[in-house]
Amino acid sequence: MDSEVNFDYLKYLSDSTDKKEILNELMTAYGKDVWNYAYSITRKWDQADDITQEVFIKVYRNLYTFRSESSVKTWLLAITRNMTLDYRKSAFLRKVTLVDAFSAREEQAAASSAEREVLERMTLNEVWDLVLKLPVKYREVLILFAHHQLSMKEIANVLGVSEGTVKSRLFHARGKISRLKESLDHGTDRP
Amino acid sequence: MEPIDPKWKQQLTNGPFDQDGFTDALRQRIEARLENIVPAASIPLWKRPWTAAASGLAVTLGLVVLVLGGQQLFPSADLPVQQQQEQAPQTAVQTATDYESTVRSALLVGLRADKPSGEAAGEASEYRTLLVAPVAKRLQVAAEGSGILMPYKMDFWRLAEEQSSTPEGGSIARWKAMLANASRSQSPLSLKIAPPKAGASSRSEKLLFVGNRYVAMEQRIIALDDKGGQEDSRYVWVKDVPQLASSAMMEVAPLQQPHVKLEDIFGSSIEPALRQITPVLPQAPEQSKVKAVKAASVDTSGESWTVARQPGRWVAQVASYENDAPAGEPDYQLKELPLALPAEVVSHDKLTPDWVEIKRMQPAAVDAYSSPNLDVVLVVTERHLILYPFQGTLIPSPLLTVELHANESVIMAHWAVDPYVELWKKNVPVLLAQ
Repeated sequence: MDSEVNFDYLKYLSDSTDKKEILNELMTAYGKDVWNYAYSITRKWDQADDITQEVFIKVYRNLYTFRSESSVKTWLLAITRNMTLDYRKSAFLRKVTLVDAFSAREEQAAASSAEREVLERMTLNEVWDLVLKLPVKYREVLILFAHHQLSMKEIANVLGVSEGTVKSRLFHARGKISRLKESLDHGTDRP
Repeated sequence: MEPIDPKWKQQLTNGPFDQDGFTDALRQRIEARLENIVPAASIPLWKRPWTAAASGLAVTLGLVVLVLGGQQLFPSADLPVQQQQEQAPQTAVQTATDYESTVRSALLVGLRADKPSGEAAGEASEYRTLLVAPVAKRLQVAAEGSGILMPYKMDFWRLAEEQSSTPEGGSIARWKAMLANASRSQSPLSLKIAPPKAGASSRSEKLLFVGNRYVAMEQRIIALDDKGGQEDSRYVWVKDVPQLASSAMMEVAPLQQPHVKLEDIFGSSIEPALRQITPVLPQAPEQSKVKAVKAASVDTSGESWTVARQPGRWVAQVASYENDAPAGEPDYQLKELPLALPAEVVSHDKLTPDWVEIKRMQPAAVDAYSSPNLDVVLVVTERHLILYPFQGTLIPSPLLTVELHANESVIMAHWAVDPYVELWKKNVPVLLAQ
């Protein structure tokens, strides 16, 4: 992929490298991927914003640790996942809230939260609706495969499981989506 | 069978909303945060909201340890030099537990133990690799094995010594690199190189530095002529993993063997730096005494060099083969290159906190490495590897102490941060056990 070729230089960063410029390029190339993944796990717009912010802050601090053991995208998504897991612990929430306490974000958030609530109810299509209803372990593997288009090996690296487990979860996710679709078609609410 | 219905896959290609979640406003917010980021060490600990509770608890418990422990926690700068023994490694107390659970780094350490010099061709070194990682929120040696296991690109590679004999009655022991997954560790713990027969030579190599692509080594060639005279020559080279993985013959002259030149790393910008040092090229053992050859052999490319350790950092040193050295001493003199090594050779070569602070806390320190996560620092003494927590300042309460073998030194130190910590914890023990 072109975006992967462009970031090959990440392997050769030195102290003189302009990290902010690199981070800008990373945000341009992968900001949407990081946010979409964060949202797909949390299903909350504001939480996805917070997590995306912390992911890129962490990336900025750790640019030199990219070892090209994976693609840049896989690296970023793995960081996003770990950040999301941290976010679920109350300590992370407290940290982010305190750090932003003196920013103008709260004022902006109050004004736009109503708008976001509306947007959150307006997912793009029926399949996204169904996927976002799945338990998280099936949801994320499906989204990494179908939306982020990672290979089995890359998904395994992001999730820290074996490729066999990835395939198994995809299989079960497929079954659950089918049953969800049926239940909605028939007017029931069975998961 | 497709993992999911292709129609569903197509519908999931775009994001969940018409409007992008990664908005310009979010991007600007991130950029504004970057403007406010300062190095962690310069932020007073009390200013960090999320450490307020932890530091309060730590101070309380620290006072308890101070009263009950009966040992000096903070080394005094006034101690006479002979009394500045290594601050006794302490077992982790409740103080450390608070920091231990926040450690999100893993460390792969390569060690070399040298046998005392003076042995003839039988001199050998032993190598081992340790993985230090948080396991169940406790920092531990999660894996240990003989030999060197190094991360390279997407995999782990094993460095192993391969020995072969020559028809003339000599022997060659060279370091080879192979994909760890595909290989089992077969090399003996310590290769003893047999003395050569008359008219033959023995070659051996000793690892000096293992990076994430480049490996520095000292090569020793002992040649025995027909009259029983012995020529002992030593060289330093840097090779990359592909060169170590190749089957290039070792019988060629030292300069003809595949190796990495400084010119390959720095390009033409190496020339001015080399002109300041004026190194002399190495010659093959039989040519080393020919003065006429020496006069013409100025090294303008940086053929022979190594990566050496100074407290807190790796530096490039160029070898110059100028003078006749006493028996048993290397033929070369090492001169520091006045250029910093790029990240492709030594990734993450920053020490936080600085060396002065580390020495103040641990007077017996001879070296130190810090994690890119700024959460833990490895301090090396003559006898131990000691890991201390770091949260804006170095916490003098070790999380883990590992005893070094006699004459053992660090030749490799690679940090892993998320998401590689779990990957390393999963893969390295299996590979080191092979």
